[in-house]
Amino acid sequence: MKRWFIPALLLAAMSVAFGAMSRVSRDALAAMELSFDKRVRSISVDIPFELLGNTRGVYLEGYGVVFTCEVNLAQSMTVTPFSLTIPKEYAVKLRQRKLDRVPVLKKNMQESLLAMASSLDTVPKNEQVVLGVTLFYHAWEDRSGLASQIIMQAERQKLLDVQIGHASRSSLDSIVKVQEL
Amino acid sequence: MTCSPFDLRDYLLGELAESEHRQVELHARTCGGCHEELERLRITHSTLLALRDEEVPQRIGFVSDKVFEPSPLRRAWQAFWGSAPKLGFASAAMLSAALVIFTFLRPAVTAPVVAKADTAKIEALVSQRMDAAVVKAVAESEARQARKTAELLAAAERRFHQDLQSVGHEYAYLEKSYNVMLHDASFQTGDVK
Repeated sequence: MKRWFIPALLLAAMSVAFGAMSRVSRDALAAMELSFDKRVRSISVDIPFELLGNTRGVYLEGYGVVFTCEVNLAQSMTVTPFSLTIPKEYAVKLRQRKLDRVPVLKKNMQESLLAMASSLDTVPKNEQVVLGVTLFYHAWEDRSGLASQIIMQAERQKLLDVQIGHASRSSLDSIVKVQEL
Repeated sequence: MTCSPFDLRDYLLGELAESEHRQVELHARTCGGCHEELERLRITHSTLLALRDEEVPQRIGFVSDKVFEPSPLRRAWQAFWGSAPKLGFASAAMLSAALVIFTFLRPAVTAPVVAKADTAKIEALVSQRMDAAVVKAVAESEARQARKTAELLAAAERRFHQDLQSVGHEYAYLEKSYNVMLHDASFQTGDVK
C-alpha cells in the first residue's frame, strides 16, 4: 500500500502543476490570431476589410480565451493637410457600404469562433471563447447606426457541438452571445 | 383933451410966446392930466428926433414892377422845390454820394480784443471737443475691430484645432496601418511569432 501511495502522490502533484502553468500554449493562440487576420483580409477583394490592429489572444484561467483586433470595414480616402474636407456624398456612400458589411463581418466572426473552439483543444469545454472586434472610423464619418465594437462569446462545448454536427448551424445565433457597443 | 390954456404940442415945439409958454408951464405943474400928456409928447418927440432922416421916394413902386420879380437863382430854387421828380433825383443822388463817401472814408473796422479772445476760446473749445469725439470714435472703432479680430481669431483657432484633430486622427489611422504592415513583414521574416 505504501509502495503505491508515494508515486501516486507525485503524479497527482505533477498534474496539478502542469495545469496551473498553462493550459493553452502561446503558439496555439498565435495560430488563431494569424488565422483571424487572414480571414479578415480575405473577406473582400475589391474593397478589402482593413486590419488596423493585429489580432491578439489571451487565455484567462477559469474563463477561457479572448481575442481582440481592430478592423476598418472598408478602406476609404483620407484627410490630408492639403485636402481637409471629404465630399458629403462620399461619406454617405461609405456609411452605407459599412452598414452592408457589418453582417458579413459577424458571419466571419462566428466562423472564426467555431474554428477557435475546435483548434484550441486545451481549453476546457465549459470555458468561453470570445472574439472582440473594434471598428475603426474616420473623424469625418457618419457613424449613425454603426457599432464601434462587436463582441461575440460562446461556450466552447456548444461551439463544438455545432462544429461536429450535434447542433444545427442555425442554432449559432442562439448559442453565440453578441454585444454591439 | 387937455385943460391947458394953450396947445401942448406948440408948447413942446417952442412955438408959443414967452408969456404963453410960462402959463402952460405953470398949468402943467398943477394939472396932473396935462402934465402926463406933456410927458407922453416929450417921449414921442425925443423918439422922432432919434430917427434918421430919409429922402422921400420920387415915385411909388408897384408889385408888377420888375424890381419886385425874384432873381433867376431864386426862381431856379423855387422850381427845384416845386418838382417832385427833381427832388427825388436829388435825394437819390445825395444818398448815393453819401454811400460812396462813407465807403471810402469810413474808419477801418478793428475787431475788439475781447471778440478775438472769445473766438480763440471757442476755437479751442471746439477743437477740444472734436479731439475728444475723434478719440472716442477711434477708440470705439478700435475696440470693435479688436472684438472682430478676436472673434475671427477664435474661429480660426477652432478651425485650426478641428483640422489638426482631423489630421491627427488620420495620422493615427496611417500609423496603425503601417504598424500592421510592419507586423506582417516581421512575421513573414520570422522576427515575430
